[in-house]
Amino acid sequence: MNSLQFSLNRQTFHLHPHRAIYWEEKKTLLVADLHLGKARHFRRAGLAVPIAVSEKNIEILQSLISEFQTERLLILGDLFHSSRNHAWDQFKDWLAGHPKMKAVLIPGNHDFHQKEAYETMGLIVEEEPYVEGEFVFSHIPIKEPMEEKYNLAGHIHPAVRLSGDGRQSMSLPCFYFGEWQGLLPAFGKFTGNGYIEVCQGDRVFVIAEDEVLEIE
Amino acid sequence: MANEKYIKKGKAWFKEKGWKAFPFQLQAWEAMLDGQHGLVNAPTGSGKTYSLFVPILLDYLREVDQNKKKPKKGLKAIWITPLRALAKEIQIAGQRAVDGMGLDWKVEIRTGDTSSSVKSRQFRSPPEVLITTPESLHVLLARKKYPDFFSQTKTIVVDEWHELMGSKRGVQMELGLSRLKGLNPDLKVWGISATIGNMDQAIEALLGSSFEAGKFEIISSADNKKIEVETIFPDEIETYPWSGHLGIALLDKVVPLIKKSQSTLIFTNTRAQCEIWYQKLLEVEPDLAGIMAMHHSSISRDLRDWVEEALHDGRLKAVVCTSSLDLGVDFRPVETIVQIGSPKGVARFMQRAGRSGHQPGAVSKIHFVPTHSLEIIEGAALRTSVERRTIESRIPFLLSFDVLIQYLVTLAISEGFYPDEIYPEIKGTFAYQHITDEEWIWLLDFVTTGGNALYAYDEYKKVEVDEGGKFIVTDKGIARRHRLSMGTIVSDVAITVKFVRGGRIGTIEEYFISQLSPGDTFWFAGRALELVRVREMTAQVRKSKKKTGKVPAWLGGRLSFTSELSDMLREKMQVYVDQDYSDPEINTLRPLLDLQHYESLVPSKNEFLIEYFQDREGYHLLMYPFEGRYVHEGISALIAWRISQIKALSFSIAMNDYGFELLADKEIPINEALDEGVLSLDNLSKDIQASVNSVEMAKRRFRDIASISGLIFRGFPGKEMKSKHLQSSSQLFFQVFSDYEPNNLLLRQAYDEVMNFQLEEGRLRKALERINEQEIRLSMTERPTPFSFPIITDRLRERLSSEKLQDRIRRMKLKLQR
Repeated sequence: MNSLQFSLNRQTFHLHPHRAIYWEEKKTLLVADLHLGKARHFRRAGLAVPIAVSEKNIEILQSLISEFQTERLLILGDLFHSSRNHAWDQFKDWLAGHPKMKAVLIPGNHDFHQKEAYETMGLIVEEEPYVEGEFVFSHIPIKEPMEEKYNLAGHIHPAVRLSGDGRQSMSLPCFYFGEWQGLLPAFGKFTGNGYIEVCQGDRVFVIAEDEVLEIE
Repeated sequence: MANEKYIKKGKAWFKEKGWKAFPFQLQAWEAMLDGQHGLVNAPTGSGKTYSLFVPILLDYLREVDQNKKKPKKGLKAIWITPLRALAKEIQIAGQRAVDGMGLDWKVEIRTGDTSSSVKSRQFRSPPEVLITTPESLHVLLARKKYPDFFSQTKTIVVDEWHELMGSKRGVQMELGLSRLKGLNPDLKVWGISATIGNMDQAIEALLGSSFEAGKFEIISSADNKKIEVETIFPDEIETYPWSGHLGIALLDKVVPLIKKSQSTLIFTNTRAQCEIWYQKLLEVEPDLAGIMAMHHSSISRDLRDWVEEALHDGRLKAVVCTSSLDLGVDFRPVETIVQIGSPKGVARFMQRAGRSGHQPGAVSKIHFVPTHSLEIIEGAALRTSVERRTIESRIPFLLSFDVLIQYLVTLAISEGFYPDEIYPEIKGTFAYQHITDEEWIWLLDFVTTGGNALYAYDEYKKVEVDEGGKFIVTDKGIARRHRLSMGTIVSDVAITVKFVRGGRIGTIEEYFISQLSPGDTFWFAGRALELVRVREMTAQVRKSKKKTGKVPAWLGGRLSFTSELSDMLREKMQVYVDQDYSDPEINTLRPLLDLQHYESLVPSKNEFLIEYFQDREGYHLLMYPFEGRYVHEGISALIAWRISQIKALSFSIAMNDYGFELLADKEIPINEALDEGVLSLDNLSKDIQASVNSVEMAKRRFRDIASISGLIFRGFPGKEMKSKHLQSSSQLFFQVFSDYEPNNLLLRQAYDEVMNFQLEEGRLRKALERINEQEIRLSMTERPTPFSFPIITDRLRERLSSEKLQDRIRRMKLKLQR
């Protein structure tokens, strides 16, 4: 797996095919829309679904943390898909295994529990928009530019459609960087796509299996 | 003969009614009284019901005479019908015969529509004859004390067996029969079937373990109904479109047919086409309002019942319909049949034709409306096929483990079962005759523990084994959910369409509604409707005055040519090559075929045509096996894969029933490919495995399997799961089995079904064998030909690539959003 280096506001970001960004200067791993326990959620709704799937997400998260020697994990919302279930315990146990790592959650629309619920599992909760240096982080993309700061957000599950000669076409999840706003792909595998509109000058990086590619 | 006395009674009743028994009816009476099993091969409206209903009564009269005591009361005979709508007619006919013979029997119906109070009354004091469906029979087997209910049953008749046997409903029927035979080893099993290509297999599958020489008879009514096929031609063949599937351009030619007939049935191939034809007919002929109706499977049962009744009574001038009217009660007033577009098979075409001309000796006439010019040739192919009666076979399903799992749980929720008792019964069926002991043990394990992959979850431990070794379900919740999900027909999740003020109109796939916003107008059941809101699984609508609106596109597989029709189509190409223009279709189509022959080639029986050309879209390679789209799906993937091994290429693939296209953005090395044996039979199975995305296909198949086997519960009535959720949960099971239990039988079944029913591997191999004996004719053309045009304009495409994803992406551009 190769990540792709990308500079923004003189900071270095590694775009990883596992749908995460590593922010080198701050030793921070950025992820959005994990939707942990989504499979389990179906079960509670009466749909029988084996749970093996949600464990995979944590495995991948672990591999990213190890790859980059991460000191901080910044989650841009929708950590859990729904109310407390098995996935909470799994995540809590995993977090407990990383006492030195700071884990920050900016709650998304799916994270509707009281702040304390997240704090007791070792997460630091920050409300959106969360400003840090030249950046502003949020779950839902902010509507207007904020004081020259660059917004990084989730929620959209961005994807693009590509086409070529001979009626070739495909759609892929992507990282998107506009003039003052960037979007992270959904980390959770089991999630839908939101097709985005791309303007001249925007930069789009698609996830092509185990590689991240920029689309010209 | 001892039977003679009773046959005379039957004849006497016929005489009283002013009828005369047909030879096949007398033959059937005799055979049943002789204690035989059997199959009556007779079309609808031929008196088939009385061929088997009468001897059931005669047999009883004999029993009364032979015994001093009156025989015990109870359910004497079961009559299975695949269609609820047919039950009423059979009941009326049956009751008439009962009364005519002076018996005090009751003939009753029991289907999903029967109220629960009637059902429990029937269970307490059964009628002598019960008319029911395969599904309702299984629901009976799910009731405690069912063995008492069936204790007096001597005869079972499976009506329209040809309809059931090519589906999992047929398997379900076989299992039901095996249990009834287990309860009563002397049970007589009879079937009624229209003509199919494999009549012998039909009776073998029906009888299962009772299939023994000398113990059964096949009885045929003479099939001498005359069917006339007339193709509707456009005025100018030169301007008729080369592609398309609606056929609206010939609407003006259909209107006069409707006008001059008492009543007309217009068959379309899809529900969307049905809606559009109905709407367009009303536009050009507003007088038809009120005397024309529409009939398809998404329209509510009440509305359909009304249409069928009105048709029966001669109150309707025309009905635009789909296969939903292929089967059903006789509509005597129907004089004219119109088929829009290719019927894809001979049996279906004949069945539709047979819906007219019910008077004895009358001719059934069917008008064929081609939807694009090349399709005209199918008119000639259909006529010859009908004349020669080359009718398709119905292939029975084998080893459908999903149906068997459902059946085992059914038995476990009622009386429970002992494997030693049930296993021989199951092995006695045609569908499971080759089941192995290992498979059987796996199945028992699966229903009791959930198997290797699911043992950790309690909800899959459905069945328990008690101390005596009986397999039984004790949990009431499991039993309740199982009862609600019995059956083998898995339909898409549907949204109910209702008026705001109430009144159900029908059902639409969730997918369509999700594309509409409140205020949008759409056409459904022949009306313009405005979507008001969607609440849970109901779309509330009101009438709209707008003239335009979307027409729902129902998702559903496209039908494919049967091999019988494919053969005939190739024969008709040869007829053209031989310059025989006696078929009016070929004569009319001459300008187009001449153009094809001039630009490229019309292949004779021993030629195989390949076309290749380049335009701004890319490089087009076309091949014409004329084998139907299912077989083309497999061959095209195979050829694309083999070529892509020579050169890294990405293909977009399209196909119809005549041929297929491989489109690439780089030059295709066709000559090299032919030299290297791209069409060869070597390594065929291996190459097919490598080329088709069998995983994706099996995943799609698995959805039904997961539902039938009870892995997925579709929800309580009124609280059904969304199809998105169903889809993803079946995919998860597929994934988990693939990862943790690769030898799971349900998983294997999904792959087997793909090979046997979707890719039709057997047919594919035969097609390649034929092609290998033909002369390859590679034709480099300047532009699209009449043959290729309908294919290259098709938007529905498959893809195959041997290039690295990254390389492909580098040549692509962002698609601009609308």
